[in-house]
Amino acid sequence: MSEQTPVPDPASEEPQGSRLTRRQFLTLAGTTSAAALLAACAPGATTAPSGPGGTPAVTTAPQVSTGGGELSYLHWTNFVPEMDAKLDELAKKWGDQNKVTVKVEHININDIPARRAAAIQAKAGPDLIFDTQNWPQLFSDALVDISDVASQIDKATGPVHDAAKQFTFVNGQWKAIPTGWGGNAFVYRTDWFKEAGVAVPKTWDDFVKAAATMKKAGHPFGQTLGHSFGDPPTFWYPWLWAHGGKEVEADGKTVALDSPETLAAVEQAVEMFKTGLIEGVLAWDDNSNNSAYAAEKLAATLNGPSIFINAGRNAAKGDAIAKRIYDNSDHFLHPAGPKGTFSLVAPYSVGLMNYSKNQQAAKDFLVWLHQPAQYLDWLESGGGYLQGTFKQAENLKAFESAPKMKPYRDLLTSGSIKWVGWPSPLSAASYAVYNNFIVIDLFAKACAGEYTPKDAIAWAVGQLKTRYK
Amino acid sequence: MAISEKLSGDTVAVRLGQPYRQSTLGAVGNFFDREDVLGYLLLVPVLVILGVFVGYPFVYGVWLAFTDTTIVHQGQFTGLDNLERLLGDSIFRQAASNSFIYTGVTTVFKLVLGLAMAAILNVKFRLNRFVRSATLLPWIIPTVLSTLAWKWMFDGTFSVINYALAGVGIKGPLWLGSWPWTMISIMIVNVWRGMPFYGVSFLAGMQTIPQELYEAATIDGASAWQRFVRITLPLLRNVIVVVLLLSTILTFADFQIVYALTGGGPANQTHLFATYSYQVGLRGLEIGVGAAISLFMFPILAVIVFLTLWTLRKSD
Repeated sequence: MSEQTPVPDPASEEPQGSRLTRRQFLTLAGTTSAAALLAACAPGATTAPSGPGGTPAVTTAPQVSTGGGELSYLHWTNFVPEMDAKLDELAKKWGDQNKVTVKVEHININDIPARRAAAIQAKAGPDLIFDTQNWPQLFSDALVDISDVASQIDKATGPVHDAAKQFTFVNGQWKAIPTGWGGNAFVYRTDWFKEAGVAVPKTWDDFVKAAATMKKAGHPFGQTLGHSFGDPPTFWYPWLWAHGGKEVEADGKTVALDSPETLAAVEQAVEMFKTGLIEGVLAWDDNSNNSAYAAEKLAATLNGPSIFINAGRNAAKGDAIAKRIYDNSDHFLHPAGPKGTFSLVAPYSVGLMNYSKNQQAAKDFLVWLHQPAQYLDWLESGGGYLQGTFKQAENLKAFESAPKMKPYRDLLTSGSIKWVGWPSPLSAASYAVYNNFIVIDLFAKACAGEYTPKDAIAWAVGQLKTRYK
Repeated sequence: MAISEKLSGDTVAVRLGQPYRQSTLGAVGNFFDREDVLGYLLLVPVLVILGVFVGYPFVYGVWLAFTDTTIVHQGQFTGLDNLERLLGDSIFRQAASNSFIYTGVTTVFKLVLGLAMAAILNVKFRLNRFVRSATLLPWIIPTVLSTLAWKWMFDGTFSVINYALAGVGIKGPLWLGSWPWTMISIMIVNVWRGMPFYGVSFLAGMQTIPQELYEAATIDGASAWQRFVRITLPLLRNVIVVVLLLSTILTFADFQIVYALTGGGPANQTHLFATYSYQVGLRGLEIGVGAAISLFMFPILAVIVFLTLWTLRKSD
């Protein structure tokens, strides 16, 4: 044979269908890809929403305002599990009624910022995302103006609490719906306080003395100095403010931390850390004090009502320790410092992302979820863990059945609530400080002995200056 | 140029780059039949995947490191500002120091313990296969899951380790709440998790060493230690180098263990490059600065890879 002589293709001698030749593969792949590409580019090729079971919902599904499809809601994992279960139930109910598949994903709230950041960068992800603090302000460019939704909710359930509005109303537009408040108060053991002759502290000085007395009696206080979104900032920011310290001036640019007031706050924190707190709080997160209090290791700790609520629910199931805790616990609000009484709460909201492909469904869902029937149902399922941000949800039945929880309700109207970065307006810089735990670490580094109080302040000032410019 | 080969008794000649059979698809078919064309075409998917999922993120990350971009706003080119800021940041300096200490200490422990593990598992004994499988468990279990179990064991209030120590009259440390125990804790978990990888890799290498070498050495009067040092270690050299390379890269860029165990705390004392980058870039929204933190890892890892490959090539 000459060099030019074609040779039989070995594959062609095999029974047909048993093996693809390279040529057949290329032909098939090319044809399939071209067909898929053409189909995708064809006019009206948008995927039709699927009905239940994946069947096309074009002609057989009833006409609904939302147009069907899917809706995803990235929500936190609530400290009272019943609230998550209720939300899932409500979401399913609305989804079934409107032929929309609603997926509620619950994750640790500390992980939401990263998920949100990735979603914004990718322009894809959950349609609705749970917010706290000033996140709606920071991410306003990535959020849809849902003033129409807010207006409908306001008419049915409102008016909205002014203090909640500031976190979600951005430049004349509602960028999120304020869905609830998470106030923190001190839960304490009344029996142990009584045994030790300790009264409920009215000032921070009293608080430090009470902690020392209780620790000597074998029942220390517990206060986290770790990196977590809730309990650390709601304690240490008010502590700093009450002593007269602040991270920044009202202009939002001038760092103001280095002051005698801040030094006093740090020095007193070190004193309390040594004399009144349980060991290990430097590594605590938001769950640690719940566990320690439930194990009867603490006489007092700052927390949402979840400790008390869960103790009550476990007591009802026959748990003797939980019953003892529930019967012998009560609450008090932040004591006063030399400059007054301050507190910080977690304002929760939900925003609609601008990359969402199903915005109308998301809006309809939000309106429905915040109607009094559903909204109160959800809030009551938490036994008062979250308080309503709308007028019609101010007085939950939970507070009447558990009067010991009233401090949480009273906190919202106490006038003591400030925000991270106070007295400057809410800003990206204060958010960065909050999320990098700089104020918390100011105290943690001094308490751990890594720095002297003065050096800890110098360190924190250096950190603040890279954010406030 | 022609290549001749024997096929079914006939001499067949094929000219590279030319069709050896008339294509039914005509010119297009002939074009794809050219191996120099087809070869590159088949490479395209891999190159696209590498470009999209490795090349683009890398180049974009490098670009971000020199900008003041945040999660919400596209930033401007700021030159070396981010790097300058990081060099003056005590947390970053500590994260850098931690990364070297963490990688160095754990690698030594994993190497020594991995060799010991492999040497033990290389001996035949009853339930040998079961033990070999069991030792892989730390490596098989999802890292976050096992780390959470360790977190509970190290807990300041409920530590089972301290409870056991108290039983023999020893007051255990605050594993996650006091320096240097926090670093020691994350290193313990890393060694526990990483050792099986070393052990199994070394075991695979040991099983390729001819038994005759050991038998000859034994006849010559070599002790077990001498056989290990003179036969096992030299013949395992390449395996050790490759394992060290992979482990060093993975450990230096570790994230999961530190994130799940301490979150970089207390007071930022246990951050590594990766966890600090995450905190600043994603939690704190300063993605440009976060990218700059990650960028610091690149030259260090590049040097490690170069030295390792150089060592390997030298041994060849």
